[in-house]
Amino acid sequence: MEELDGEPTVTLIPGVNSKKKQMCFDWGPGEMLVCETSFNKKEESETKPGCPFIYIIRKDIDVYSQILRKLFNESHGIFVGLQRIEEELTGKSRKAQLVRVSKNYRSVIRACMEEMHQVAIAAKDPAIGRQFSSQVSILSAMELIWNLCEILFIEVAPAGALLLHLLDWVRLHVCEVDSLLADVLGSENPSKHDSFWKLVTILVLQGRLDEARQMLSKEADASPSSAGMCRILGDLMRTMPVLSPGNTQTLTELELKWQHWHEECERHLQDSTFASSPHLESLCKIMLGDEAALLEQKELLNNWYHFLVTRLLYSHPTVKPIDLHLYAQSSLDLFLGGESSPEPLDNILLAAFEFDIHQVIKECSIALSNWWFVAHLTDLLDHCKLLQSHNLYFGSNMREFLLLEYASGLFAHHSLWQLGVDYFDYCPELGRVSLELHIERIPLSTEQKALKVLRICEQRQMTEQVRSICKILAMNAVRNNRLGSALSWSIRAKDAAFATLVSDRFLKDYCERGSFSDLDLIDNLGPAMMLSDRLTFLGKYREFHRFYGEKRLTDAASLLLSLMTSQIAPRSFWVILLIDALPLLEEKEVVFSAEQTYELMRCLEDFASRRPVWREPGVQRIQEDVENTKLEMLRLALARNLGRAIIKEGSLEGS
Amino acid sequence: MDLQFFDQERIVAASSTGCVTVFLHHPNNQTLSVSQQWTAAHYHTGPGSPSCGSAPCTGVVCSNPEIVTVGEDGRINLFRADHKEAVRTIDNADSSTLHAVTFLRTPEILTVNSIGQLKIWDFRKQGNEPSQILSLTGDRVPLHCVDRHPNQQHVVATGGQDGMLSIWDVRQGTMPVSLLKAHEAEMWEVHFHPSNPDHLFTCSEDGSLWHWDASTDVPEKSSLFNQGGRNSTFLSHSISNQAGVHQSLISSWLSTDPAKDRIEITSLLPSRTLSVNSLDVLGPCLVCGTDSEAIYVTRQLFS
Repeated sequence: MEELDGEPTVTLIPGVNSKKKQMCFDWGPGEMLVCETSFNKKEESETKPGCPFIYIIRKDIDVYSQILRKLFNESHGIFVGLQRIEEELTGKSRKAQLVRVSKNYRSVIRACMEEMHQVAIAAKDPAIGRQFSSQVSILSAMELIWNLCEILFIEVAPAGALLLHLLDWVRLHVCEVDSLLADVLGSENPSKHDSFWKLVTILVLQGRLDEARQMLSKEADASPSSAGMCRILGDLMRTMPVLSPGNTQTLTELELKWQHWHEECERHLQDSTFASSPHLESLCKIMLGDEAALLEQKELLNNWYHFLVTRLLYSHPTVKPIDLHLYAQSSLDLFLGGESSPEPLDNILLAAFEFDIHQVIKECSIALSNWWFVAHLTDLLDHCKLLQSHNLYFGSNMREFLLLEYASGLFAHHSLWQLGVDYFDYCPELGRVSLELHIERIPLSTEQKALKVLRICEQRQMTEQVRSICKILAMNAVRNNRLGSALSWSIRAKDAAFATLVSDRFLKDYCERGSFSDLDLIDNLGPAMMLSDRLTFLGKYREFHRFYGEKRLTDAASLLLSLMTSQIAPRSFWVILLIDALPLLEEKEVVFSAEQTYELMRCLEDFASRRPVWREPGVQRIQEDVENTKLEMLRLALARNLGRAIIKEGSLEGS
Repeated sequence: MDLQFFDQERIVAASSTGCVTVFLHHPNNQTLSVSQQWTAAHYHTGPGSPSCGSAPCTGVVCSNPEIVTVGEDGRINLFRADHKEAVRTIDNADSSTLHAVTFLRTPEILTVNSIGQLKIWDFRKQGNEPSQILSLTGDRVPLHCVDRHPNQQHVVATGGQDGMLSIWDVRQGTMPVSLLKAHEAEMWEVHFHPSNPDHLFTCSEDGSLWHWDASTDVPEKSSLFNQGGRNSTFLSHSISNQAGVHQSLISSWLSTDPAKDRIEITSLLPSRTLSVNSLDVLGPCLVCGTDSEAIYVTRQLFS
C-alpha cells in the first residue's frame, strides 16, 4: 500500500463515547454506516445503554449543494457532447474544438461561482455566508488551475504566444483592477485620487500598458512639472515590442527588438530621467523587470504566479514552455521569501508548470472534496492524448478510475444518478459492471422512477437487472393488493413464474369469495395470456364464466372440458371445475355429448383416485365428507347426462 | 408528480408521498404558501403493506371548484376546494396504476392505466364501475398521459410506454381512431394547444419534445420552427373509417385520410437531452422540464 499523503481527518460521531465503547462500520456505495457495539474497550461491564442510533457518514456533501447541482448537470452535458464528437475530431480543428470544450467547462465553473457569490452576499446568517464564500474561493481555485492546464496542456501555446495566454490568465483572476479603474476615472480629478499611483502600478504589472499610458497623460495634464517625464515613460510604454496574435514576426526578431527597447529603458534609468518622481522611477524599474522593484509591490501582486508572469513579461517575454518551471520555482521562493510555506494550490500550480500532469491530478484529488474536477479534467486531457495509459493497481487506467469514482458518488444522490449512468457508459472496462451493480440499488419510490431505470437497463441489454427490478416491483404490487400492476410488471419482464404467482392469487381470491376481483384486468388480458400456463387458464376460465353468463352453453361446455383435459388447470382447482360442470349437466337441454360425458367421468375418477388422504381428524374430515357428497352428486349427474345423451344421439332427431 | 393551475392564484400539486396540496401564489412578493392539503389522498392497503403505506399520486386535473386525483393505488378522489374531506372516493377503481386523468365533460372523467385501458367514469352514477372501457386489442402497452381536445369533448389523445400517440373518439367504439408512431421511449405528456387545437405537443423519455401540426388551411406548409430541430412529415395510420360523421364537425385529428392530410412534426429542443418529463403550453409560450434539471422556455411558438 502506498504511504499516506496526509494525515486523515478525525470525525467525531455524536452520542458515541469512543473511549468506552467500540464502533462497528460497514461501507456502502458512497457512504458508511456506523453504530455502537456492545463490546467494551475496558473489561468493566457497563449496563448503561449506549447510543441507540445508526449513523450514516457521507464524505461527499457537495452532491447535495443546491448551486453545485447546476455544475454537475451542465458539465454532464459537456462531457457527453465531448465523448460523442470524439470520432469527428481530426486534424487541425481538433485542438480548437478541445479548447472550446475546455472553455465551456470553465464558463460553467464561473457561472456557479457567480451565483454562489450572490448567495454568499445575500446570506443573512454570517456563518452560512462564510461557508458560501469559502466555496466560492474553492471554485475560483479550481477555475484557476483548469485555466492554467488549458493554456499549458490543451492549447499548448508556443513561446511568445505562451506569455500572452499567461497574461490573460492572470488578468482574469485579479478582478479588482477594473473596479478601481472605473473608480479613479469616474472621479473629478483622477490624478489626485488616492489610489491613482496604485492603479497605474497595477496596470503596468498586468501589462496593460495602453491604459497605463492614458492614466499618465492625465497626470501630465494635471501637473505640468512632470509632463515631460510622463511623456517619456508613456513613449517607452508605447514602444514596448509585443507579440500580437496576428503578427508574423519571428521570435528572434521579437527578441532583438525587445533587447533594444530594454536597453533604452535601462539608459533612461541610468540617466536619472525619472529621478524627481519616485513613482515614475519605480514604474520604470518594474518595466525593466527588476526583481527588487517587483517584490516591493508584493501587496499589489497578491500572489506568486502574478509575480511570475510579470517578471517573465518584463525580463523573458519569449520564454519557452519547458523553461517555465525554473522561473516558477524561483518566483515562488522569492515571493514567499521563506516566511510562509507553499499551500496546496501553489504546489498544484508548480506541478502544472513542470508539465507533470499526474502530479497535478494527484494533488487536486487530495485537496478537493469531490471527484468532479479531477474526473472531468482527466477525461479532457485524455482526449488530448496526454495521459499515457499507465495502469493503476486496480486494473483500469486513471481516467476510468476517476470517472468511476465520480459516477459512484453521483449514484448516492436520489436524482443525480441519471447523470452517473452516462459516465459509466463511457468507461470501457469496468463501466458496465459498475452500472449493473449500482442500478439495482436505486430506491424506487414511484413507478415513474422505476420506468426510467428499466428503460436504462433495457437500452443496454441488462436483462438480469430488468428481471430483478420487475420482480421487486411486482412483489411490492402483490403486497399492496395491486394485482393488475403486478401482472403488468411480470409481463414487462416476461417473467412466467411471477405471472403464475399472480394468477394463483386471483384463483385463490375466487375460491375464497366465489367471484373474481379485477374483472377489467382478466377480461382484457389479450396476448399476454400466453405468458404462463396459469395465466392462460385464468383467462380461459373467466371466458367460461362469460359464456355461461351469455347462455352460450355448448361453447361453455366444450371450453370447460378442454380446460380439464389440457392439464393446465392446477390440481387444487379441479374440484371447482368439476362442480362447475354440475349446472351444465342439470340443464334441460343436453349440453354435453356422450363423448364429452365419458371424458368428464374419466376426469372425475382421475381426480378422485389421486386425492390426497388427509390424516388429521376433525375439520378435515368434515371437508372430506362435503367433498365426497359433491362428488357423489356429480357421479349421479354424469350418469343421468350420459343416459340422456345416448338417447338423444341414438334417436333420429339427434343424429 | 403533477401540477395544475386551479384558478388565477391557486395551484394544485400532486406528490409522490400521496399528498395533494393546494398552493396559493402571492404575486406581490413572489412566494407560495400552502392553502390546503389532503395528506393521505392516496395510500396502499393490503395484507403486506404497512399501515401508513403511502402511494404516489400520479395525476391531477382541476375544473373549478373540483379537483380529481388518481394514484398508484388505483384510487380516484374527487375533492372540492375548501372541503376538508374528499367529496367522493372510488376505491380500487383499477387493479393497476392509474397514470393520468382528464375531464371529458364536467361530471365525467377519463383515466388511463398501466394495462393500456381508457376508462370513463361518471360521477353522477353511484357505484364503482366505469361507464365505458376502451382499449387496444393486441399488446397492452401502458398509457402514461392523456389530454382532451379543448373544443371537442369527445376527442382524446393518449401517449404510451412505447412512445405511440393515439387519438381516440370516445363516442365511437372501443378502438383508437389513429395510432401514430412517435417517440422511441415512454411519452410522458401530451397536450393540445388550448387556443389552437390543431397543434399538439408531446414530450418523451428519449429527450425530445415534438410539435404536431395538423392544421390544413395552408396549402404548402412551411415549417413553423427553425430551432435547429428535425423536421419531418409523417403519414398517419388510420385503423377505422369515419363514414357518417359530418365533415364540418370533423376535427383535423380525426380525419385521417393519408392522401389528403399530412401532419407536420417538428422537434423543438435543439439537441438531445435527458428525458423531457413535462411540458405546458399557453398562447405563444411553451415550457418544458428535463431530467438534467433544466427548464426550457420559448415565448415565440408561432412566430
